Amino acid sequence: MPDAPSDEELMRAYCEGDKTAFDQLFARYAGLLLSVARRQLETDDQARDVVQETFIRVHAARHDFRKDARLRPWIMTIAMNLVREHWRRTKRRKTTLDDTLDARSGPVPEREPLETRQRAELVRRALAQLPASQREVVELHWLQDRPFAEVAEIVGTSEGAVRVRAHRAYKTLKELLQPELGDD
Amino acid sequence: MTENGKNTLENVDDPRGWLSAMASSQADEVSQEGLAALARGIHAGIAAEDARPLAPLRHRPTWQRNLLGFLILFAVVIVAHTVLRRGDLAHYPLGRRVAELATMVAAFGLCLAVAMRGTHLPELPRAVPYGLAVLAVLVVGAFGLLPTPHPHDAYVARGMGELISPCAVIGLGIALPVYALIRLLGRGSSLGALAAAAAAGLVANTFLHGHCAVTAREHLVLAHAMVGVWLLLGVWGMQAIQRRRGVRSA
Repeated sequence: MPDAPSDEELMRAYCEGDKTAFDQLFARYAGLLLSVARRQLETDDQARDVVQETFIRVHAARHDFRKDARLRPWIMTIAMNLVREHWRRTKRRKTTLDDTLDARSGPVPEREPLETRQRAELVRRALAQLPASQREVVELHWLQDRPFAEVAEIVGTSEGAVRVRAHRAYKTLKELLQPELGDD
Repeated sequence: MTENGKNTLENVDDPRGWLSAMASSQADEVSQEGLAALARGIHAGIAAEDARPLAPLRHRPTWQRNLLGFLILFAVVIVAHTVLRRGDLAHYPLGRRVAELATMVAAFGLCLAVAMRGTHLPELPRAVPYGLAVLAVLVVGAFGLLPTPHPHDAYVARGMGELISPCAVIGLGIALPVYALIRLLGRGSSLGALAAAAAAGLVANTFLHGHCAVTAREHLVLAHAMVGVWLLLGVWGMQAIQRRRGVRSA
């Protein structure tokens, strides 16, 4: 049985006109992009809009995909640019935690254990307090498990600058989470 | 402290533990119906994108879109410098004329590169398009502040009335469709709009530079250089309105 085609092979096939390759790429990336966008934005609708626009831009920019390029950072760069564009257009980089949580349209499933839900909300609140430049580094490095070099490639800065952002984000998260959780 | 809290704090040194707890939360799961609806929306969006004006050109690689932008500029330059050329060329120093034109073309190239920048590339700092917009206006304005190139101009400037001189109107008449073309060839970032406005202002000024024989300082600054300023102010104003609407709807 042949190996499944790589992301890059699928993208090249799409560039050559194979529309089914696009559907396979959607199947591989839609969930990932949705979870990234949900953590970066305020509502599920905004996240869906960003993911939808990401795939449309992948389509529009497909002929800019170089043969030696890797698809994952390529798509993540488009998505992160769109998230930044969203914040620039709405000019609401800083929102209150309650606003952020209240604006989420999707109800949390009742069957989810309370402890997990509380922890998830705590971290989500803390992430929402970070500057966008630090939040995207947290997202890509800690949540997506991408190496610093790839994060730097996606956000368009040096690896050193990404490490500094990660360190600052970590310090801020620690400051935000310790009072919430208590330390006795 | 609860057992849960203690575990969380123990993980602060390595935040992946509690971050992954959030990442695996069921609130982040996506239903198959949701994904199917998203796929339908994307296919509809792609169909709409393909139906937009100049879509086949906009989907071309970035270097080809930049080349198209330069072709627009060269078409304007050729028309201005041949069919509609200025009447004082015999007196205008060739070296200065070429230097001024080359400066505007170089500034145009920078603005165009930002306006056409692919969305798959990391976003440039916001200072870049703003800086280019200032550069584009300063370059043209500086030509008006240079010593007059020859003493054969009998034009009497009209002070602030130069703001609505025919050159200002013609300049805007050229800049607006060029701006629209660059935006249609670009991939739609809001920062690209400012760079596109700066580039369109420079295209209009290359035309005026080749066509208008007036060398009066007031005319060059208030009629020629202000074309770019009006366009930039228009784009900036439109973006401010969009941002306000975005805040209201958010």
